[in-house]
Amino acid sequence: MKILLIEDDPQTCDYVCKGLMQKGHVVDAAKDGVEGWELVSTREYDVAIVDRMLPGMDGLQLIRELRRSGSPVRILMLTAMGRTDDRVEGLTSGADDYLTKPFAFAELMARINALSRRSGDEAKPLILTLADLQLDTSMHSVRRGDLEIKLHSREYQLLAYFLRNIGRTVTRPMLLERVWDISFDPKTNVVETHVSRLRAKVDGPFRIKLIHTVRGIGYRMSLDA
Amino acid sequence: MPSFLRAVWFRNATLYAVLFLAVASLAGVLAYRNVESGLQHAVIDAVAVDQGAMMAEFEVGGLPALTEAVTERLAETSGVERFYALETSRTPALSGNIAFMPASSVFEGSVMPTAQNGGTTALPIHAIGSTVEFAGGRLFVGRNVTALDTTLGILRESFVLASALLFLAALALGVALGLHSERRIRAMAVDMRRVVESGMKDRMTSSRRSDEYERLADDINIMLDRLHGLMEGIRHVTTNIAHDLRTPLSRLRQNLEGLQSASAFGGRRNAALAKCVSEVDSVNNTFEALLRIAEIEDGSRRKAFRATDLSILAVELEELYADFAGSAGLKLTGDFEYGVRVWGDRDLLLQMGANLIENAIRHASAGGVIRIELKTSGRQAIVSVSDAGPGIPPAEHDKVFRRLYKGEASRGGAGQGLGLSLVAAIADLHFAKVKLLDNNPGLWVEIVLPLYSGSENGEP
Repeated sequence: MKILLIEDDPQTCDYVCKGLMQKGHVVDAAKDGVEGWELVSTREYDVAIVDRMLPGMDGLQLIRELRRSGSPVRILMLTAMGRTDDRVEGLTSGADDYLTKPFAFAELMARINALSRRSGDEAKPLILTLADLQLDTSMHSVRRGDLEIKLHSREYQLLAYFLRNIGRTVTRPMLLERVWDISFDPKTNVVETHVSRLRAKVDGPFRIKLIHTVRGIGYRMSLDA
Repeated sequence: MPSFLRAVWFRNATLYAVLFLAVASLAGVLAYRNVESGLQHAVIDAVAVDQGAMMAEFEVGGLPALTEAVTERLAETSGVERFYALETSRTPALSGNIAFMPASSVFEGSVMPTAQNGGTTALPIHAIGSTVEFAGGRLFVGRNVTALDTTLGILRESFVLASALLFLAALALGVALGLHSERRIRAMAVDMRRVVESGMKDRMTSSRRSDEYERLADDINIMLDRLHGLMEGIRHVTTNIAHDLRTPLSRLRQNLEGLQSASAFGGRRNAALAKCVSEVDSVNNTFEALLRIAEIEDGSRRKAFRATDLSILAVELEELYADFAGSAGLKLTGDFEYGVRVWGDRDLLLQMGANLIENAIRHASAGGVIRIELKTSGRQAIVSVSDAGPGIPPAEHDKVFRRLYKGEASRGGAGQGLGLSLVAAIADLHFAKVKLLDNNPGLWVEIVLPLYSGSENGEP
């Protein structure tokens, strides 16, 4: 993926750049809003990571300008401001996702992956499949092989989210946001409980397991472990 | 300029005295004018009666009769009390006891008595009278009013004296009252300085008189209590933040020192690093929760309030936590009234419920039941979460809402001591009340929220 990082703190910039390059991405970095704007308006990127507070041109302003110019780039906003208002403001100004500092690199990575995936969302398939697991969004039904699996509505949403992100790591906060619409972090293992219940139904009786735990980060749905 | 000239009490006393004087003067002038005109009219009436009688005689007997009437009256008049003058075209042109015939029909002014009639004096005399014309001449009848002038003069002096007395009395009273207020205020100021010097611990003294100063002192004491509470809260939070951070920070330091010594490598190194990260996360969590509480307390999120269905949130929460409670060996049961709407913020209300349920799960003893209920009563929605855990002793009920407070029971436990502070802040934002009750055994938390009234564009 080609990723643009606009971040004025040199240490964060260095850390994120190195991490992204290690994962095999091509990364350009800009130190301020003006430099970032020049890069993003002259070259093509899959994802832009934009810090909210930038010298020269504010992150929020930059995103608005980008959206006004019709740029299709996926934007992940970074911020030290954790207020819910700021989050809402960031998302309404045109950012696709929002991450509060300090963050775990794995969380950033998972979100970037989910973003790049979303660019292809235009053609949403009606039937989501992985191996012999099938989720039919028109019928609201789930089958594995010949067996029909009965799921509660939240389990169904959870599975659909996993199936839309096959091969990608999804984190606990991402699941809470996308499946439960919860923006705070419960201090208990509620998500784990729900995933294990889903696992019991989807993977339990079968030899090949599809939902895998990524230790300390979240989950990944894939054929290989 | 002497300081008392700038004092409010002095300015007020002077102002009141001047106002008093103005009102008294006005009243005096009005009363004087009234008396003056009354007395003058009495004279004018007497003159008119006398003149009328003389003219009646003229009607009957003509000029000789009138001349005789004048002569008669002049004979009866002693000294210079009454004045008569008759002017005819015959000689002598002017008869009577004054030297000149006043010109105006109604006369008020000085007349000059003639010398021949008791003529002891040639000084002009203040008189009031009237002149009538008849065929062939004019008749003047007048009265000496110097006695009346004297009376009015005494009256004027009395009024001036009374006004001066009133002015002095008003000034004295104003100064006395002003000095009294000033003394009370100065005493309060001394009191306040004492309170400030005591670090807001002392209180204003009570004067046992239940007047407005006393009530003001009471209100100041209420304000001081609140201020003191807030200051204590800040001191408490500061101490606790420092205390709470010391533990993870010192562990972090130990881990980092261990890594620095280079004896750690491979698996041990990774384990130490993971510990470092988790300590940093714990510090970060504390700060995040504190910031969130501060954000909620500033009230600006009320702008994003909308009609929110508590019943749906309750169902979502029950669904979210039922299995988790089950995995902890607890039973979570819900009993909800449907369609209960309040004016609020979905995210925050959800978090409030989540905090209460997590608290209950954390503290409930295994095998216990956690009940979530939602019902309405009058104009209120009542949400309750109850458990059968150890509960909170009544003595701690007020303290548990303080930031970073950890009760005796949970000291050293996993909690940050911020869960209930957050609940209290969210409830406050929603104009709701939090009640802690005894579930016998366990804790019964009740949140009482005002129901949404139905207008889409404003608060309930």
